[in-house]
Amino acid sequence: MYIKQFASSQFAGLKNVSLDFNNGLNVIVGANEAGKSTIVNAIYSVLFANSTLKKSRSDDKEFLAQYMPHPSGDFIDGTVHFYIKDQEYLLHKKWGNKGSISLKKPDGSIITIENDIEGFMKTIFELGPRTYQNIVFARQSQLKEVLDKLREMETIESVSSLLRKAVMNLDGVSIEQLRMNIDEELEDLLKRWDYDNGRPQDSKIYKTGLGRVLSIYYHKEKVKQEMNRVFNIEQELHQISVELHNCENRNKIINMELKSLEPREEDIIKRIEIEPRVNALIKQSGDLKAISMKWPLFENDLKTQQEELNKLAKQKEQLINEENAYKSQREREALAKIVKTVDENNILIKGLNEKITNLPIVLEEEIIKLEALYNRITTAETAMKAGKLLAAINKKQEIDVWVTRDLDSEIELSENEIDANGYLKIRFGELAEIEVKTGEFNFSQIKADYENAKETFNEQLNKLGVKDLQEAKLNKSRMDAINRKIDSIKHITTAVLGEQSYEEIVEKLQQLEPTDSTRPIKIILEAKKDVDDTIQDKKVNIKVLQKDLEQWAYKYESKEKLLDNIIDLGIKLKGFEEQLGQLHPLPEGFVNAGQFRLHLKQLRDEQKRVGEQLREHWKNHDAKERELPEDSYEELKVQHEIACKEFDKKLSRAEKLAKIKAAFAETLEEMDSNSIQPLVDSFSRYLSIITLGNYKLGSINEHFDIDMIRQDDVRMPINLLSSGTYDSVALSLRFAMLEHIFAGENGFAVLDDCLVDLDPDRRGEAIRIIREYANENQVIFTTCSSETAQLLGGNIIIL
Amino acid sequence: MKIMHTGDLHIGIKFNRYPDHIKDKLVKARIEVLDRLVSAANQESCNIFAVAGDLFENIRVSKGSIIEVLHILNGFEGECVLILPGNHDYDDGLNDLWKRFKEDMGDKIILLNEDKVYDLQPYDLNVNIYPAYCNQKHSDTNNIGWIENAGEINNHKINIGIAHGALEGTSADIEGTYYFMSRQELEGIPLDLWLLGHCHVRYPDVDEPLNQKIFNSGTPEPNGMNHNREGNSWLIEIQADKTIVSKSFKPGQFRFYDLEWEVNSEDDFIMLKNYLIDKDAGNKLVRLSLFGSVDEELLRKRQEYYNLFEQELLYFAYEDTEMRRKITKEIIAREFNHNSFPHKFLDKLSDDRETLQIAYELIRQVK
Repeated sequence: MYIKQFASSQFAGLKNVSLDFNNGLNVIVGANEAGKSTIVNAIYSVLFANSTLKKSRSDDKEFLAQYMPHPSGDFIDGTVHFYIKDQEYLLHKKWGNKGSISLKKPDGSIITIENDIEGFMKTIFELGPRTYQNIVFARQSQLKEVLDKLREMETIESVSSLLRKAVMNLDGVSIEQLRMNIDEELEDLLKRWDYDNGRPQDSKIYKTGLGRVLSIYYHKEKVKQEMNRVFNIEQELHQISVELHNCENRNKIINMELKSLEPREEDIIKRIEIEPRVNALIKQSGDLKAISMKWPLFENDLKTQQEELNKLAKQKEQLINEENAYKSQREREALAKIVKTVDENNILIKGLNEKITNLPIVLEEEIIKLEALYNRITTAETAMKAGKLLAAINKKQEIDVWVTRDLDSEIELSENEIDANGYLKIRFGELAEIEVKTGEFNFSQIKADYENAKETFNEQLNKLGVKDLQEAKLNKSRMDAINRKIDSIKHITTAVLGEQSYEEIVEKLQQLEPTDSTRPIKIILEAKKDVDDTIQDKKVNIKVLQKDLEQWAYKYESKEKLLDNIIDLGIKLKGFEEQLGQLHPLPEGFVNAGQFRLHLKQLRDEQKRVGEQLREHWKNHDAKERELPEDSYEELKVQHEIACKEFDKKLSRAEKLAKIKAAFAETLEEMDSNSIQPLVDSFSRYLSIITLGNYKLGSINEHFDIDMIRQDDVRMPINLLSSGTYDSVALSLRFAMLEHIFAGENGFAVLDDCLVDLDPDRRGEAIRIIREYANENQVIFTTCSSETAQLLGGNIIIL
Repeated sequence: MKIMHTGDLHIGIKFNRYPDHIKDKLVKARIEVLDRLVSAANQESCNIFAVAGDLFENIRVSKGSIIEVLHILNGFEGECVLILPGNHDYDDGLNDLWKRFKEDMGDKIILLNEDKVYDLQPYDLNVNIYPAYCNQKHSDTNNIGWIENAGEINNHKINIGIAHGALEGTSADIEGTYYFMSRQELEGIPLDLWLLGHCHVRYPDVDEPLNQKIFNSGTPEPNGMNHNREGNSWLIEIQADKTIVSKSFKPGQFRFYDLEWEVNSEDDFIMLKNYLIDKDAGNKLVRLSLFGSVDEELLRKRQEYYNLFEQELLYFAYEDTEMRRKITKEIIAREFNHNSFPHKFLDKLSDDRETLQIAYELIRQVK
């Protein structure tokens, strides 16, 4: 395609402009504000803007504000005369209060319906307007943001689509559209629906922006809620009806009962007066009759009781005698035992006295004396033995040596060493003697004392006829033991006899006559106690009977007079009963008239209460009945089933779409790996030319994220590039895209002074690229620089 | 002795989901079928005309409808008409329906709304009736309990139980709120005959049952898509030796069809046509759900069938989103190049027929 001519009667600052272009390089030269950019915008607007503008749309308002002439002018227009494969077309658009559009076709026919024209234009410009705006229409003012523009989603997808078309065998299918349709339908189905958890997203309640699944879900739940509501209302209504029914039944029963009881009320009140009197008379009469019956019986009873009491007194006397006999027998046995014990003790004492006679008599004083002597002897011995003397004798010549040690006799020395305790005398023949004493006591006195005591002690032993002190003590001990035993027996005898003498006891024993054997005392005593108890009971009974009989006699004088009283009461009672007989009887189930009246009162209270309840229940019933909805529970149930089916269908559809989406992505990934390569090749080629080989493409992905490699192999993200290099990259990418955007057909590019920031070297390369592109395509280039225009060459149009 | 046993007429149902002209017909049909039943009962010289519940759709039926119903029922020439309140037209002793009904029902009609034995001797019938009426809309227990405690059953009489509730095996009373009764429970009570209502299908499901003791009438005039069966009532004869002879009577005018129909070739459409289009087609209401896989040509032609159904049937609604063009590997191979994206994409889904069809349609939209 190439643009042959652009014309406009007015468009922003342009008036009656008509520009002719070649199918090649065209350079529009003009000073700043001469209208170069307006021409570019006007061409774009004729090709892509709607002729029908809406003031409500901000884009349209902006369009009019930007291009409507000031201060006067109520329309703008433009005509683009273009060729496609040598076929001539004329597209005219007019904007204003009344927009218009027309397209003249190669056959001379003109169409003016916007939709038809747009449909036709879409066959030429398959991609979205923004894609063409970003790639084909390069404006100086946008050069800095050109990479961002080129990387807009619509542009990327358009270019990707074109690349795929070129590389991938799509068989006429628009992948992007397919993807969009799948996504849109999934979104349409599942918006705000948590598919994994089968509930609304975040378990929230949404009012707007519902997907179809959520929408039918809400509907389904609403119907379900309504079902529950209706069910509950129906249940509540039933409950009220049951209560109402019970209440009505109760009311009926109360009314019926009142109807039956009330006519009797007056008579029952009279009964209340009479009945207590009747009851009192009945009771009184009953009491008297009872006394009348008891009186003779009590009298007989009293007599019997008294006779029995006498018999019991005799029984008691017999038992006392038996008890006494028992005691006498026991006393005789005890006395005989004492006499026997005393006799036996006397015999024992006699035997013991004979034993004492045979023993030598050792008195206590003698033992004491012996012990004193013995102590003196042992004291002297102890004193003597308390010291320690040692002597060693070395004979220098033969001589008899005699030794006296302590209290011992003198003996001949047999050893060289001698020891003694308190006294040592060594006699050397007749030559000399050495006497050695300890200095602590008087040895001579002790010795004298010792010998004196010893002599007296031995004399005393001889006198007692014993060999030593122990034997004397033993004899004394034996004698003492026999004496103690005699004392003990005597003591027993005394105890057995007590205060009585032996003789008195013997006499008493002789006086007691032996008796016959009796029953055991325990049995006698128990029998006696039983008789005593019975006697006591009888006495009480007799007293009670006597008391009653005395009272009755006092009260009624006699049995005969008592009978008269009873007859009088009977007459009175009959009179009252006749009165009662004329009144309504007490209904069944009532014990007395009081109970009847109380029941009547309770019934009337309840009647009042139930009446109020009934009014309340009816009110509730009517209100609840009005709440009953038009649709019954069963109808709602059918609706709910339909909604559930619909919900399942929608979910099933979503599930299938999710599967389709996955298959789509998988297929695309498998096939898409090389589709971007042609663009990469073109881009690399242009980049190498325009940067004079200083930069080459590092990487580019499907989102057109780019980084570069410098000549020295340093990888450079594009945001770090210098301004000029950045522009070169942008221009290279643009031409790479331009190569593909017309899908193999000749295309065009409208470049609005886009070389202004390039350094002279790069500008030269850029111009070379533009001219190269213009060899096969049309380029409309605007510039304010006549130098650039000269460098570019081609069809120069001066504004 | 002969009995016309019916129930579930649901007079007063509104059919709001149908277009007005159909709605009117359906509403009228409920009354007309009662008229036909009474006429048939007269023709058969029935002694008893028994309605086993749900004569009316709800307790708020208009006075006019009640009068109209009473007029028809009083046209019964036999000895008496027995009316049992069901769960839709329950009698709680308070609602206006049965008060109004009783006001004008006359002597021949007996409203069975008490738990007591109804002796039909005054009607010259040696029959005792044991009713189990509904006193509320829902109940998790049936009302036949009192009969077991009603004292000795007089075997010299014909003893008939009339009850309303879900009979075991005839109704999916999943919630258990429709007076459920088991056959064992009914058979345990030594009555000669049980006349039941509630489920809209007949029991037993044979035309002429012999010595059957338990009957469920079913509705005489179908009233919804969930009841695809023909309307039914029972003509029951109890012979002198208490042998029971019965036959199905089909007084209904309309048939409802809720069909899920698989279409894989035109033969299936023809079968559907033969099934639906006959001399009674004008009385048929059909909701059709089509599914299956068909070729392009049949997909185009399906509308002709829809047109035919719309023309011939009283009511026709359809849903055919699940009926899709049959997509086969051959079709995919024919329409798309072997190495093309669509071919590879569809090939991945070839094991899932329905998903494949959806994917195919999506591709067709963007080709």
